[in-house]
Amino acid sequence: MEDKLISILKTGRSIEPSRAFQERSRRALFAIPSPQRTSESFWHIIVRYTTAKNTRLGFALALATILVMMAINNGISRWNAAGNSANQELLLEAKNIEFKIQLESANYFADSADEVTALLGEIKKPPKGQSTDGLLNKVLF
Amino acid sequence: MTSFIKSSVIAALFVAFTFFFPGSFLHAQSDAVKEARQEVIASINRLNDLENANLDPATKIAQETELKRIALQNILTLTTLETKDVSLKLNALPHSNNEKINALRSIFGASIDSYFAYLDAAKTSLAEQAGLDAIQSFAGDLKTWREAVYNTNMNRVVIFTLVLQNQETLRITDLRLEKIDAALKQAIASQLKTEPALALFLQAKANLQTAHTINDSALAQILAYLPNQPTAPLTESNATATITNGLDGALPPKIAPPDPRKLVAASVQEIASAYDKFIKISDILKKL
Repeated sequence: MEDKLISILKTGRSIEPSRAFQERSRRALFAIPSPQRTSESFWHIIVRYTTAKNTRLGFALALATILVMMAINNGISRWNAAGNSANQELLLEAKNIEFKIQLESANYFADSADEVTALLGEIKKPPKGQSTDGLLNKVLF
Repeated sequence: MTSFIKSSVIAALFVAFTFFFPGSFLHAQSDAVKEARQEVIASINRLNDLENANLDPATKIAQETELKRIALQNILTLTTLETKDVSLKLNALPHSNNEKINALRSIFGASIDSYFAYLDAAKTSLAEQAGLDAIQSFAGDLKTWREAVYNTNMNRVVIFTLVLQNQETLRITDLRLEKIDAALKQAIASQLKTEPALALFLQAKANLQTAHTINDSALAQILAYLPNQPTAPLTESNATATITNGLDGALPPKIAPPDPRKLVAASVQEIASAYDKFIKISDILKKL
């Protein structure tokens, strides 16, 4: 079990655990106190990218969010005032398409399936069994 | 210039919608799944807390038994809800003209039904388990089932759904391309200056061809999940045999890389590029 879990988390060849998955697994397995959140918000992603190495992408994401928020707040229809009906239709179509494609959902399932299997491994273990905490911490951090 | 800014903003918006929103704004999972996930994490946390608690051994074992039972109940609930989510998405797919796709879809549907039955039986069985050893052994059995049967096959269902969702998207985008083609032809007939729009149109068409090719190769990988049935049509009985022997077996079929998920992601990116061009073409045509 340990070997499998470690190889999955380490190499990520088949599953490629996301940072969120690693965080969740770490918190779930070792109960490291941290604010609970059910899913990453867009702002978390921005903060993470901005504070990490990729500052430029962080700013780009922030700019994209501001643009999107402006559009939502002001109403996309404002552009329609200039008779931009074709673009409006295209934009709506593009948005609808996005709803149809659920890449994130597919990735979630793979992460969750692996996570739950790892948790079952923990539950299966007798209480005084050999702990893998040290090993896993080495792999993750 | 204003028009350029306008179309750039729209393009930026589209890129934002396409690439950044899915993980956050759209929330991929239902609230029920999220709640169940939190319950699982909370029960695992309680188990960890117990490990450090200063209790006499007998009390500790009794508490551990109950906490592990609760954790397993929560895992069964989460698994059931996740299975329902996948099942809903599978059922929401439009009917296909491709017989192989439909055959695979019914096999997956039957598999999912059998998982619901398994999970129901597991819930009953869990309630009947007495003692820490029995609970731990139950966890081991559930883990084995997930590894040998559930995880692999459900991942296939998820990928299958994803590829077919993208196929549907491509159908809509193809219709859009046709409409733009008609508008361009009309503009050409009116002897308007359409060269820049035409160049963009050809690029968008190429984007879509690539998007189709990539998605088709993902589809081919998925259809390889279908067991070889050269002559016999898929009946209920051999579909059941397939579920027990083929799809749910421990040996997965040889699937050549790359990952179909990545193929779909690449295909979606091409579709996004095509839409970016559609918006620019629409701007150009409007000014003619």
